[in-house]
Amino acid sequence: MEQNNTNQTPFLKVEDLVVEYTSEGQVIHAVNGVSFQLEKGRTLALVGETGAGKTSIAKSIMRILPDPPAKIKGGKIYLDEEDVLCISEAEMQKLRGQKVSMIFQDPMTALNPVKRVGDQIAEVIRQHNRVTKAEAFDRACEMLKTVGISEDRANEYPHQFSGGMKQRVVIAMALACSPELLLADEPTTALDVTIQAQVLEMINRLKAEFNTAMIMITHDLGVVAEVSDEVAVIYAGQVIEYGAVESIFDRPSHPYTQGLFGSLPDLGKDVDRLSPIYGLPPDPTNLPKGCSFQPRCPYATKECNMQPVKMKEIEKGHYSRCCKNNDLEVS
Amino acid sequence: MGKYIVKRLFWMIPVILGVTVLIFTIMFFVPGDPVAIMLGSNASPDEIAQARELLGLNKSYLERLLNYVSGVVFRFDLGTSYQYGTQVTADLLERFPRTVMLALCSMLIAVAFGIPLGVTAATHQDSLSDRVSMLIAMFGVSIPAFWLAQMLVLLFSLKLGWLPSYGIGGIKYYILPAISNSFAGLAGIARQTRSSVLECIRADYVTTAKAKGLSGRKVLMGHILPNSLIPIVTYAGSRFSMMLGGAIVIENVFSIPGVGTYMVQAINYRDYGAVQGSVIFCAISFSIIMLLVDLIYAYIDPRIKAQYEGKRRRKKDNG
Repeated sequence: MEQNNTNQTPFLKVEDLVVEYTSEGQVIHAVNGVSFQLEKGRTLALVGETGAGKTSIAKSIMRILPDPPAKIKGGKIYLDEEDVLCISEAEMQKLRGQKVSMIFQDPMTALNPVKRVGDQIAEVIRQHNRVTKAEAFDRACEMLKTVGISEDRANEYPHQFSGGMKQRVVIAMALACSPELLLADEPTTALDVTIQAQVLEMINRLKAEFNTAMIMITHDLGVVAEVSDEVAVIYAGQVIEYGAVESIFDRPSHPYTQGLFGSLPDLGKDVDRLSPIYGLPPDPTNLPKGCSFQPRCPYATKECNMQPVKMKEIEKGHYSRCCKNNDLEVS
Repeated sequence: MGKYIVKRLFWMIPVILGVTVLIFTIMFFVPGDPVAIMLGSNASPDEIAQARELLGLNKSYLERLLNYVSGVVFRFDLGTSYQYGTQVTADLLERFPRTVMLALCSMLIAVAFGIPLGVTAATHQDSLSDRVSMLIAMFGVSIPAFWLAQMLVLLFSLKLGWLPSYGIGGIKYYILPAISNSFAGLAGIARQTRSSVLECIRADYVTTAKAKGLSGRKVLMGHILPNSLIPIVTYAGSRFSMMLGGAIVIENVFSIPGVGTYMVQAINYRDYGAVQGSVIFCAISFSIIMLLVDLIYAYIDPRIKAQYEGKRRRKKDNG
């Protein structure tokens, strides 16, 4: 992005990331030129529908996309001025779990069912620190305590834990080596609401404790408001709106973002129906030539489908990818 | 866990009883007079009648059945060979170690080569090494063991003179039989390994393991393989128990006096007593191996162990 021309390079900088999946000869354009950056201690929320490419972006940063079918076709990812897409697999292994770690979406399947949870956490500690088995296990127990699980359960297996507790174990594992960048892929989606609040609070607390930069992937705008400093709205593998959380929430500019907020139920108003965004996300094997939201956009004109739309700065630090930006009334 | 094992051992009693009754009944109604076979065609009617009386063949079906079953269950007495008049149990126990030895060697070869072959195929899915591994596996399944055995004998015994071509003795005598006996199992294990590793390789916990920064080898050994072992153990277990019933073809080709040759001989001479005894013997060893396989399950998968123990706990609660 063309913002922030300060001398200091940001902690994480993603530039023009392109990810494609190949399936039965068809090319699926999952991520199409995504750019953003993130400072230490800050949280960026990636918001978007299922299939918008959010998880692919996070997995690209970790370089754990399943290859085949996925392939990073282009772009650069700088972490502390180091291009993680260019370094060797062995160097990448040193970063994973240590400098960057990820909280996975589905706690039910993210843990190895035949390994004790304590050992699973200790494994990542041993991988990156010179400690004995016993020391690593002790630290794993401490991590469990940090996430609110009694340490005498470290010898149990994942099937003996509830969903919320498994998610905490996953979080404990991700935070075990105090990562500098944490990728949280819908950490609360699989949980019920009361546990969600607890988990979010815990993530916020731990983040503050370790001064971790975080990318929070979610489609829950409530979660965004709670944890993030900046927001990138992802649609069909592109950032279509980007800015500080306040400006996005107060002055959403892109019709899609407006639609997202419009489809939230408002407790203060007496309405019979929610107002959804009509239509479906575009087929990722065959994206529209121009604006990818244009087929569903209530303001679309012919001009929208002519050529790819560029990001425009509509106010300081607030960007939007819509060719109608000038004439759209910001509601 | 201990209680589970005891329970399973008790469960073997009805299984053995059922098999015994079934086999005895079938053999009882099979036409042909064992005594006539025993004494040959020159025997006089008097001699035959005397022998029948001696063997207790004139008693009723029920009497003989009860007699036999109680012998099997209480004294592990599998009956008498009509051909030689020897105890089947003693005959089998004498031969069994050789069969076990052959089965163990074959299994060792099959596992030692089958699992790596399958893992290579799975981790390099659709590449050249995958195709080559699966081609080897396909050949392994389709090559008849007796043909392979003869080819091996031709090469290593006749041409090169490195290994003995038949008989028993030291470990040397088991090499060729074990290789030819292991091939089908090796191929099966390789295919089974490939498919179950492929199932696990895309699992979320494998991605988690990679995200920890583990090397590919550690991910494979610590996360993928332990989770894909169950179907492999099932396959290997049933394969092994089949081998314990005697590798009939291989034992004959290499003239190894094991359980397999004993059974074939018994069938050839219509030695009903021996056939009956060895079939029941195989059934028993089969159920013991299956028990072992179940125990291995519990060892590799804590969820299965919890199931075994859970059942016990629930019963305790009720009672």
